[in-house]
Amino acid sequence: MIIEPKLKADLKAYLLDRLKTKKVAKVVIRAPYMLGDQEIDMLKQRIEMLHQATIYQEVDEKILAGCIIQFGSQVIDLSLNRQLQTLEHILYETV
Amino acid sequence: MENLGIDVKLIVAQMVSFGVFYLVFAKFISKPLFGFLKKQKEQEELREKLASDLESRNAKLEEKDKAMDKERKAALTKAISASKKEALTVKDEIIAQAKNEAAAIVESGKAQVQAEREAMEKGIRTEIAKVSVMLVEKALQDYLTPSAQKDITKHIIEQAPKAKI
Repeated sequence: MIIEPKLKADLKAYLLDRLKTKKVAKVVIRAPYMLGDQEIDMLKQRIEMLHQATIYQEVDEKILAGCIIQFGSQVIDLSLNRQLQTLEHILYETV
Repeated sequence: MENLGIDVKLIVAQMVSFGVFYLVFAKFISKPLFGFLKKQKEQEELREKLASDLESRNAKLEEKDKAMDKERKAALTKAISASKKEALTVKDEIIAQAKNEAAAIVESGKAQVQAEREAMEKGIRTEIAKVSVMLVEKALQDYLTPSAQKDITKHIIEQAPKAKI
């Protein structure tokens, strides 16, 4: 595949810059209430990358319980709503 | 001679008269008359011959006409028979085609009914699942207290598998 020289140079510069400056990951945790330190610690035990990340919390009243962790394009759904969706799917399959 | 009642002069006169009459008759009457009669006879024969010819020709024509009529009838019968046969073939073909089409329509209808039933069942299942979950969600929204939310959150986090990201 032929890549444009300018694009190649830009990409190289971007990757080098990214290697030089270690950016801290930004993680957003959405829950029906602000999670306490104990809950955050428990989450850190389960998800390693939360140790090096800056955690932002958002309250989302649509979430019944549990939380949704989002970093970049990745999402870990630990909410009760997700479990209800699973239940809905099971019901659909078994009825 | 006179005593016998025979008049010689009269006889001679009669004989002369007869001879004159014969000459006149032979010269002026007999020839044209015989000619006329002969002509009449010839014409009669010609007429008879013509009539006979006409009759034989007529008979021949009648025979020919009968033969043609027979041929015509035979051809007509043959054509009718062929038409009947062809009509029967066409009828059979039409019936077979109609049967095939009917079978295809029935199959299509069955498939459609099956598809509709499956779609309906799917819709019902979806609705049942949605309504059930909606009811649970509604109940949870009404009865979940903050402490219950915390307990559930804690439980979910505890149950979550370790993610290496």
